[in-house]
Amino acid sequence: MALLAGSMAMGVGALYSIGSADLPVQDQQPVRFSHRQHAGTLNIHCQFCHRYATQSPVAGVPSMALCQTCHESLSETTPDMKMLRIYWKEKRPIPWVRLQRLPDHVYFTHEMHLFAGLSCTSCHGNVSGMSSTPRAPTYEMGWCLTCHEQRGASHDCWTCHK
Amino acid sequence: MSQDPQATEEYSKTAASPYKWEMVVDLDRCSGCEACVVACHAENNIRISGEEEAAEGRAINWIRIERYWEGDYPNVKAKFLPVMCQHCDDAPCEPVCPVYASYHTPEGLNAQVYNRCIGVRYCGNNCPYVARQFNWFDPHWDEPLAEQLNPDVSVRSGGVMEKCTFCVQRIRSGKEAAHKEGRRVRDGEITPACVQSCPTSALIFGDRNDPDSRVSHLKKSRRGFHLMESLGTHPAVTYLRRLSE
Amino acid sequence: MTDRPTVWEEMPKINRDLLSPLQTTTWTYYLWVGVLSCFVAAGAGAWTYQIQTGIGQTDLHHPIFWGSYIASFVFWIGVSHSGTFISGVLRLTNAEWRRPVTRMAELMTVVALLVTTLFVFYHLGRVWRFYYLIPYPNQRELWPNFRSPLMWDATAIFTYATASTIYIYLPLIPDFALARDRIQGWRKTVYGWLAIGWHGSQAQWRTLEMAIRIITPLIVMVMISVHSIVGFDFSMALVPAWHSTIFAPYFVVGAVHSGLGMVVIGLYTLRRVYRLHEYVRTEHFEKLGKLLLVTTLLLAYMYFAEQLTVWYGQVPDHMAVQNSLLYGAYAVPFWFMVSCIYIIPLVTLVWPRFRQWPVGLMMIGLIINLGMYIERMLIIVPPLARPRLSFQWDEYFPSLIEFAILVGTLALALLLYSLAVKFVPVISIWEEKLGKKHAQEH
Repeated sequence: MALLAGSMAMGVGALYSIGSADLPVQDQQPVRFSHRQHAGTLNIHCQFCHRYATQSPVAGVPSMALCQTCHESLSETTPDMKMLRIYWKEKRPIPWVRLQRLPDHVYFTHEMHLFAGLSCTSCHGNVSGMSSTPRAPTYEMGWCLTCHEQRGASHDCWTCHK
Repeated sequence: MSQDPQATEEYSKTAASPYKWEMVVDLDRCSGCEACVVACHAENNIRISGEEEAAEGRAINWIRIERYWEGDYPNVKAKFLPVMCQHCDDAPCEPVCPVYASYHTPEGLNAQVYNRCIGVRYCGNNCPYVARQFNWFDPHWDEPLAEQLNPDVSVRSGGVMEKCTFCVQRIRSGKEAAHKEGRRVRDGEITPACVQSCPTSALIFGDRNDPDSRVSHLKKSRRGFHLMESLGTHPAVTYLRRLSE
Repeated sequence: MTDRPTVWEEMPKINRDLLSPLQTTTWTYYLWVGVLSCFVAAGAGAWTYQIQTGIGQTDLHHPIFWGSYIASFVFWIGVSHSGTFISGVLRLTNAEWRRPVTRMAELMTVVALLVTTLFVFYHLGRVWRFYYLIPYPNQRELWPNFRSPLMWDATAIFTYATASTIYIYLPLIPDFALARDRIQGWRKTVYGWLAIGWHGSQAQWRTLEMAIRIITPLIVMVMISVHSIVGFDFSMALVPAWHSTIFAPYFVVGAVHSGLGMVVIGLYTLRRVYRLHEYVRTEHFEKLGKLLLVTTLLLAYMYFAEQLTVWYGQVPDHMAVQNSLLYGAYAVPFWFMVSCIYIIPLVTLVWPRFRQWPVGLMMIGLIINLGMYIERMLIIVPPLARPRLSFQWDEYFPSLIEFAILVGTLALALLLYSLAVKFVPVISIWEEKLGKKHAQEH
């Protein structure tokens, strides 16, 4: 009986995770970028790299040129820094794996959320303490609504659905 | 324009939001060119149906020009009637939706939430203006047309109801710009695609809560009427009668 | 009381006769089930294809958003009324002749309700999101909209399905116990579970009779409410020719009309197949014929009242619909329907000799059901095809995929019924015995 229940649970679990993008394996970045190093130890402001957050819906991933403004003058002490240099020399963009993605039917803008006084950590967590960035906890509707409710923001469906 | 006291009361009752969007269609100016239809398709990622589907009656148009013939040959006159979602204040499509996919926004828009829609199509039946359009199949765009999709508008899958939104994505960005500057939206700042493209300016869009807006003035015109006013749906689209009757 | 022993002598024969379908199965039965299964598989294939490619596989198009699936939904709900009306109303009125009819009619109710639910799913544009209709706590923090008549409908049908399952189960308990005692093998265990320890004590009989007496009036009320709400689905809408106060009662009577027709067909078929001539007699057909005559007249009266009002009013929106029925695009099905559900039943059933002819009644049942199906289509399609803006007028005829699904579902209903006949006695054995006893005493 226990065997049956166990195998059923495994089957259901396997079915559930098939096709899901949430497998940790898929979150491996081509270069092991550490937010703890950059935002934590070096205390670089989020918007130095994610520079479009206050002006547009997307926060933006920094260009190689932006990385190079600092890395140009740094010596390559780790294998990942060497990787970065190779990408730069070969003039190839780094194929970052996108971790935070909202479905097509959601309208979300970083601009208005920052304008409303939210900080990056409110939704993305304390990134400056993370050496490898995991997928954000959940961006499900109930999660958004809870915050909207607490802050007296709009509950109109068309605020966030397009 | 008949002054329906009940309608006026309804408007003030839901005046929680600063805006109430309204469109005015001047039938005297409409030449039936359908530029609005094309602009609407481009702006709102409306699926391309093709000849075959159009013949089956499945072509999707959020705004359409209805053409009626008047008189007998040879004195025939074509009369054009642009029809889009009337964004009724008492919309028949809203209460019948079992999942709240069709609902009323505080700004007087009749909204359709595509990702909530499960396709029972009751709203489509209950719309006297036949403004609601259904996706019978998944949409498809031939290359390179797929490249021109508007990122601010969802692409609707098959099995979902859709209709005119008064270009809510433009309203949204107009409001955001105004909000950041700490002011109200100015009259004429927001123009839906159809209004923008109308060569004869037959379509006018604005905020009817603003007493000085163009729509507020035009609404009061003696030529003004609503489609099927007797049904009591209180549309947010006012038509202006032709002068050359 | 001298002939009392003969009643008791009859009992083993009743047991034998009525349990025999459960115990013996002929090759024709297997063939019949096989053929039906093929049709069901074809229907399932058609549905899968429709889900994969899109609801556009139907002929539905703007502005005709509802078609054969909703018509079938209404039709099958109507059929489901057979059981409750026959057995509920006749139980309430203590009609003795109900005894051999109730069980097969109740079985029809349950099967028809299962099939009805399927049509809701066929109809949905995004059937994989059906759970949006269910009120349960979810992370989206959203509920369904209980202002929508469709939610009233879902609630009513769920209630009806639950109630009618209980309603058929209660009088089945003693019969399950009998089956448990007479049938060997694995089925004995199943019947044992279902009989929930019935051993026929006085106390148990009293409880059972009380339970039946309580649920009977309740289920009759639920039945009336269910089809009223199905009528509300249409009459609450603004659509010309739907927005009418007569829809609720008209739908109830229409449902009973087609339900009775279906009972006659079932009664005739089962009597023939299982040689139940001793139990299902001409008297039963005659009584059902009289009931059918009543529903024919009642339905015709309501239909006439509705159509006359529309015609006299001459409101253009409504006249567009009526004209399309009387002599427009839908005239052929309309007049065919009128003859099937009103004229033919009326001119035949008024003759007492005709009502004593089972084959004739069975045919009338078929004609009525064919007519009622068309009537459901004509209630839904023409009003949608004639919206107020005449620019949008259009026509509709079901596509091949729709036909495949409809036929497959009909086969599924027949299959379920055929399987059920092998599992439960089609005539309530203990009620039949009780009837015999009553007949002796009076």
